[in-house]
Amino acid sequence: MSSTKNPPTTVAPPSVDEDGDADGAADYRWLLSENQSQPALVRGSKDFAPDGSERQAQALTDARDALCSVLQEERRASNRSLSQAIWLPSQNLARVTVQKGTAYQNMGTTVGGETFLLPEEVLFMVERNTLLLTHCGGLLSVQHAFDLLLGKGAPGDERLDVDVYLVYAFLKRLGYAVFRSERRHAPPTINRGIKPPSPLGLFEVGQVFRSLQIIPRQPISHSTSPAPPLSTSPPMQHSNPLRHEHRSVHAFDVFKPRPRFRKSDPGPPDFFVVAQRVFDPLPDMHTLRGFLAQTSPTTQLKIAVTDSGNVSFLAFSEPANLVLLANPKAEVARQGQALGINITAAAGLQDVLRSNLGPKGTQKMLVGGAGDIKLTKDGKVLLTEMQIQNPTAAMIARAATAQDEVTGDGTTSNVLLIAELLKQAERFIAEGLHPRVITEGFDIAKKEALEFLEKYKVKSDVDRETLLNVARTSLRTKVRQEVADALMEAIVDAVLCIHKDGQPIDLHMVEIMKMQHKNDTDTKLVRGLVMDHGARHPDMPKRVEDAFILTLNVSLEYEKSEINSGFFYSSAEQREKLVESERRFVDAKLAKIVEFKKTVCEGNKKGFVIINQKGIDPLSLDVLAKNGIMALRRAKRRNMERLQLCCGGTAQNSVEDLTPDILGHAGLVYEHVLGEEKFTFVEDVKNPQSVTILITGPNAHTIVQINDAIRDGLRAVKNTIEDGFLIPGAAAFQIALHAHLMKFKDSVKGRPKMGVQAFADAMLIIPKVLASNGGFDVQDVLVALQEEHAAGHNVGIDLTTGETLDPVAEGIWDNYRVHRHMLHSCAVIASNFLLVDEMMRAGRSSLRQSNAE
Amino acid sequence: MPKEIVTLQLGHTANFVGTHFWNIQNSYFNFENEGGEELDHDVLYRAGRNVYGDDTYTPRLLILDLKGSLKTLKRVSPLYEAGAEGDDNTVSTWSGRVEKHVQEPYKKNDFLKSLDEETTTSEEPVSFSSHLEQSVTVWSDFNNLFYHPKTVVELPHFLHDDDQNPFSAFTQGLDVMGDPDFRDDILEERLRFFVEECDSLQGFNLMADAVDGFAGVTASLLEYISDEFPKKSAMTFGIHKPSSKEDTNKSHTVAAINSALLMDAAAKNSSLYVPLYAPTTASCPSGAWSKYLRHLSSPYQWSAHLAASIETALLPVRLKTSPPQLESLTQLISGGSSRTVAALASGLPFPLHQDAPFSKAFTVEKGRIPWMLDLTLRVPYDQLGEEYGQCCVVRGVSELSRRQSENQRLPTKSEVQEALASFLESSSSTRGQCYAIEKPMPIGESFPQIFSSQIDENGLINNTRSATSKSPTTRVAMLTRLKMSPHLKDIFVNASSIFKKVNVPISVLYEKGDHGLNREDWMAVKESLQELADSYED
Repeated sequence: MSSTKNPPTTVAPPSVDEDGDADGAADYRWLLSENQSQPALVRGSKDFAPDGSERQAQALTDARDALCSVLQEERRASNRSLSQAIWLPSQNLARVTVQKGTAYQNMGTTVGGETFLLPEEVLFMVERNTLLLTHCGGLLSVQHAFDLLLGKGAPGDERLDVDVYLVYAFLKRLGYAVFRSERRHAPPTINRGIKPPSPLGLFEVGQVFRSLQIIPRQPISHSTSPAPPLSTSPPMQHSNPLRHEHRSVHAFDVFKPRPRFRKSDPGPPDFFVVAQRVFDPLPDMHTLRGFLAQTSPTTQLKIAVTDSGNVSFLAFSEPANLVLLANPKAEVARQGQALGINITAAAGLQDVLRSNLGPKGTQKMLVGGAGDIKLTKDGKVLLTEMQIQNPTAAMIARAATAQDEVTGDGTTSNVLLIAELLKQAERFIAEGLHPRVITEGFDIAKKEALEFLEKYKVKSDVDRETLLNVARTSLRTKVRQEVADALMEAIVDAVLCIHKDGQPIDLHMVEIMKMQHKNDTDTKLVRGLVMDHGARHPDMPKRVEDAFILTLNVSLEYEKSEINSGFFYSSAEQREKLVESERRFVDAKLAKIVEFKKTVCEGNKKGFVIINQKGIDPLSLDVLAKNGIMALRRAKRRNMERLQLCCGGTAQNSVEDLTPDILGHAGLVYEHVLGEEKFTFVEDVKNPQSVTILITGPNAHTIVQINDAIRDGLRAVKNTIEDGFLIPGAAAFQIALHAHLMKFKDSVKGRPKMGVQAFADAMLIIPKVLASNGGFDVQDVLVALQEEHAAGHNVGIDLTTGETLDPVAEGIWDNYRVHRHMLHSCAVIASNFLLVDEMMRAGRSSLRQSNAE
Repeated sequence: MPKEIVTLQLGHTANFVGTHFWNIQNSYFNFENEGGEELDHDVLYRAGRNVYGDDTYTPRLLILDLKGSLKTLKRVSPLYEAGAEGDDNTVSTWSGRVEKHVQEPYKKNDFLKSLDEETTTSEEPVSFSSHLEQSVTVWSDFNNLFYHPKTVVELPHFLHDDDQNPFSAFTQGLDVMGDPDFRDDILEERLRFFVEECDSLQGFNLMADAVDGFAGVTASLLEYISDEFPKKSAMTFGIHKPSSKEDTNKSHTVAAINSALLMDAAAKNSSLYVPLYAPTTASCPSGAWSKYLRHLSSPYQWSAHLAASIETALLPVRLKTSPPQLESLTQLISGGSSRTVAALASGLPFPLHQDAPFSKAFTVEKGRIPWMLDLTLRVPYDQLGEEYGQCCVVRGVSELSRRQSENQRLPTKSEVQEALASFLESSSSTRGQCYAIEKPMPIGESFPQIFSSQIDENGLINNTRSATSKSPTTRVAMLTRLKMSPHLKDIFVNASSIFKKVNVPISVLYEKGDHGLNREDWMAVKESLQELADSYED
């Protein structure tokens, strides 16, 4: 070892940090110093290593002599257990003529009333002096028998390999019952191009993808039918009585010794032992998986390695040996396979989501295992609900939901596009095109598409009519037409209220409040603020008209502790004083507020309402109630901001400098009680810049669904105002883009052309799915659309008739930024997947399952 | 007027403990008459009314767990849902096709089935202990009560029991709480809801997983609580589940790092932080195990032990008459110092002999108390010398004494309290307080029968009792002791030493995200833990 040059004392610890990593460095030093004195290879424990001393030499000689004397001892055999057999070289078998002893309990095969022994069984018995083997009329010695029966594993030599016999004999001597394994030894062929099963369990897409596992694991039936039904013809004839004879033997089923073991019905083996020489390459992952796939879960896989007569075993269930092999169930997919897996996963996701798209899509009702209901048509919600375990599908889902987070729409389309891009690419790859060429084409096509989008977009006016169209387009794909039409006005008016020219729109300033009511479904816009809490004092006014609003962030609680006597307190007096001063402090604050109220309300009939972000305790509430003040405690942080925008005024962090100009104003403040929930409405305000959309629904899942729809609608309207551009909807853009790219393709040089074509074709998935969800013939619709487009019209699909329509005239608009983001992200994600050529998955979960069994 | 407490359960293991905790509360309602009106349940519970006008009584509680961990638990409590099934099938919001995907209902175990059935109050006490030991996989499997719709939250982005994307790092927890939508949902919609309706909130009780990403969630919540409610108490129990066989070296280290990071954060932002280790037979050194307990191995069993201990330790604040507040408990335990990390030990059951006075329990055998388990320090329990302060609770002694065979004189509450106090004082210069509470720990039908066979159905030690006796234990006496002692120094030293093991793959794990930790951060945490250790030295 080269480390001899470095005496341990000079090994400097790597200078990482002073003490933090010092321990790690010390470890290495220890290793280095130890390595010098240790022999390079120690196998097993040895009594001593040669040190050249005379004493040791003597001990060795003694041992050797003892061994010799043992070997020279005469071998006797008892007649009671001595069998006889005739060797049949043509069949590589021995026929037993005289059967004695107990060895046959786990050896030999009986066919047609006669017992045959396999060569390893013959040799083992001969070696044990329990069998006399005759060949051509002569009795064979042990040495003869070995010469005759064993081969060297040369090609064409069907005789038993010596190393295989060594393994066999080794195991037999230990007392195991050992049989040739009936299993196939060749690695199983890889099952590629499995189509996903069509009906997808929505909650566990994982189930679907489990069927895409690289190696199908079949349960092994341990059918033990060693004896084929045989004719009466004697085995002397040139037919082999044992079928598996003519295959080279590598593998054994090994059983632990147990009482009443029957070789005709041994049950699943305890071990599956594969024999090989030390210089043979270890079986690769693939082969190992093949072995494992064939064994039952209780069977351990061992590789028996023979090294000049010594047999040692590698266990692949124990992660000690090799890091990579430690986890036999880790799955590795290579090259083309990885692509296949990715494409199938994407296609699976596409199948789940495709029926969602468009106003004619299918609403999905998900009922969970505990009976929870989720209603949705929104791709994002669906993807979030599904517990996707397949890594590819999870990545696509994440990319698509990111689309929603950025733009508020387009999740479903994005998934459809990614999957379609991969599918289209696969066609070309199957013809031998390298994935990288396709991705180049995708990149070119994406750039061109984005440029085309710039030309295609339509300048929009920020008038109510246009915004209503946008909101309608968005909402009708989420909820029923009537509901959508009711929602869209609320949404557009809400955004118009909070929109200030030249400033980004903060949708947080639209509060969405939910009310569950037995038999009421309604959504309305409240031009003011609705809060989900009320006054916590019975004497407080429940309805205040023409009210000043004081927004506070001041604690009105005192720390009033009841202190038991007998406690040990090092600072009891101090504490008492503290509590008292606190109490006085709060009283002082209250006095200031009451004083202020009296000043501003003097001589008029105005009401006074306090909305506090901090707490107000019952005693303070009492004081306020006595003075006719309505007070709410623990308001949402964001409501502080909303209140200022809604009714004016400024939130106060202290009650020191209260002046009338910090007060807001509302025409009406009232409380509404529903079950245990209280709602406080602050309404009738001038020029509100923060508003509330109030959803009422009969149950939680309806409310959630409407809430999701409103959220998307708000985003669509906001995007429109901020973009200043719109894209005609109803798949018009995809039709136009396809036509454009097909023309553009001719200008692309070389093979990336194919990528451009694939990209263009993939775009058509949107009109295709829209048409098929509408119940129309996909090809008819597509042809009609393309013809109309070729005639120079801007066309989309009319989903009520299946004909074409002009989206601009019909007021069907998509957001510009949704399309831009979608084009960009689907191309990037699809390219990433195309370039994956190896996937590894360390399956701890599969190991865990096998442990549990 | 009750001083309300809001309870938070953060993480799957914490929810195991929490579920036992609330099941114990439920048992009180079944054992109505015993102990009378000793406890004020309004401290933990809230009275409400659903939209159909029915009254409800639900815990003031927030439950956080990962997606996929709830199994049979409905997210929307049946208490607040329409009863009519017909409602669910009409979709009023869509006129087109509706595709219904029904997941196969999760199988309910016998215990849950028995809850669904109309309750026939049988005279015989029932225990589902052995059935549940076999069948429990998640905490909802032995959950006994309905929650408020705002109680249960699933964390976004992470799945329960997911090997590929496990929720394993402290920083992942910080990131989850950093997600504005989620933060809003937790803090503004849920926690605020429970807090707003409290007239005189005294504080929060947090039970938190300390070894996974929930440690980060907890740290983030504690920071919010100390910002938003600076004068309220926050008592935090950091629950450490034992490592499993599948754990690698790396996951051991990651767990220890999470625990250390939580310790650092919780020591700063809670009024009291109590690290608790799962009392499994395997994790306890020999000699530290209580001789009246069976071997505990499954989470269902040891979480029950932790729940009973936490429940008992906090019992004084729920007394009807002159209860101390969380804050004064904290004062007692810290002895007025600013230290915040304490240790909990518990004697479950407190050994009451069938035929001997209760004071027999207070005999020290070979320098140790053989029926106490130290849940924090995990050492054989002697009185352990010096303390800064402590709070001791003994419960059920007088109540159980009534059931003793011979006519023992019934000890009064104050006698028990005095005996305990003098016992504790005899061993150390104890400062603090002892509480004697009449109500024994109820052992309900979902509570595991973790007691050795000598404990009879009334929780008394009966040496003649045959091991085959079928009748389950229904109540036990119990003692807990929350204290702060210089011995805690060791756990800080251990915690800070774990940072030596931060190697490249681990630091990469913690670098990710918006709240990633860099080298300076590691050093800072290490330093602050060392300071903590120093503050426990005198």
